[in-house]
Amino acid sequence: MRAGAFSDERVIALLNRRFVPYYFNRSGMGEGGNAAASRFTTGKTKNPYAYFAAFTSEGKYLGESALYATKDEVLAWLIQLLRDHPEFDKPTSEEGRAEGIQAARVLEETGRFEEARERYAAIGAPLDEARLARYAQDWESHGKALARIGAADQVAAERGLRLVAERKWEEARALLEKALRAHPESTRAAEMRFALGVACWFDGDRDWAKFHWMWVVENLPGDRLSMRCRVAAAAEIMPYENPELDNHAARGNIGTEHIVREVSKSRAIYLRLLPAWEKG
Amino acid sequence: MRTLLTVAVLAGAASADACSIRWHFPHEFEEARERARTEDRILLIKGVSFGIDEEGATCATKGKW
Repeated sequence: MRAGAFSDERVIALLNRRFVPYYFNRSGMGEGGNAAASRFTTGKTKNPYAYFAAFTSEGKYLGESALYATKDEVLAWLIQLLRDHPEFDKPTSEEGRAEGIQAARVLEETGRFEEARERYAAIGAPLDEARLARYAQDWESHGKALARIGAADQVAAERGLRLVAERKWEEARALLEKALRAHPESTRAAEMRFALGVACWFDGDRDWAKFHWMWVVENLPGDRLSMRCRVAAAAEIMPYENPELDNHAARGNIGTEHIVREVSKSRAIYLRLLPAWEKG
Repeated sequence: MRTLLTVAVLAGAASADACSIRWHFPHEFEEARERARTEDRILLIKGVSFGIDEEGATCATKGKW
């Protein structure tokens, strides 16, 4: 989940706006255990071993997501939780006073994407409008919004993500490579690198896919997509379906050491290809 | 992005999108529960079954869990 939903900008925003997220180790092995949390949850969740579950502060169980739910499924589950329990979806006093772009942000970050998009369009915020059009895969609106954006790296990122969503791998590779070379300072570098890796993967060039994912792991460890890149770089051995790679999964059970070894192999590929990338 | 914890962290020439979930750490269960109560929010609990290492117990975006 750290590589999927917990790396997703929509899920991150919604959790920070409307939920109190907490994690702990319920296995009794290693660090991070908490006896009170164990007592609070034991016997309530469908999956007794691992879960992402919702509770009231008094301890009433409200539901849980599937253990390997995709980012879209987790987002939908969280939004539905709020719609089913509006008493936990009340705006803060600060949100109540928000106007203009800030009011639109609140709508977006509480999962009201259509309303937010209308607000962004009305107040003239084309980058925000483009992002929400991309979520909806409304490519006509996406294109119109991009035509009004000045920041070239943002336009390139949006166009690249669209090409990946449309599975136009060669075009996506060409555009994203060019964008990353032209805008190495972009705050969307990791987003573009991850998407470029996906395009390379499906274009039959797995070494370059691993190069771009490992570039993020090596150079931007604090980025929200670092864990997603790390897991993708180990995709050829991971037994869990990776929804970013058409549910690619390796067969058989593995241990942590196998993942570490696979990431090390991908890192070696990264180091081998780095001179070629830097040469251009 | 947006009003989140979006911090441009310089790493060479590139910048990270460091927005992240504001998790309560494993030792903060009572604080998380109290916050859910006073702010009228749902408490979301990620129960981990494969163990957490020392780094993961104190930083939600690093370490193993």
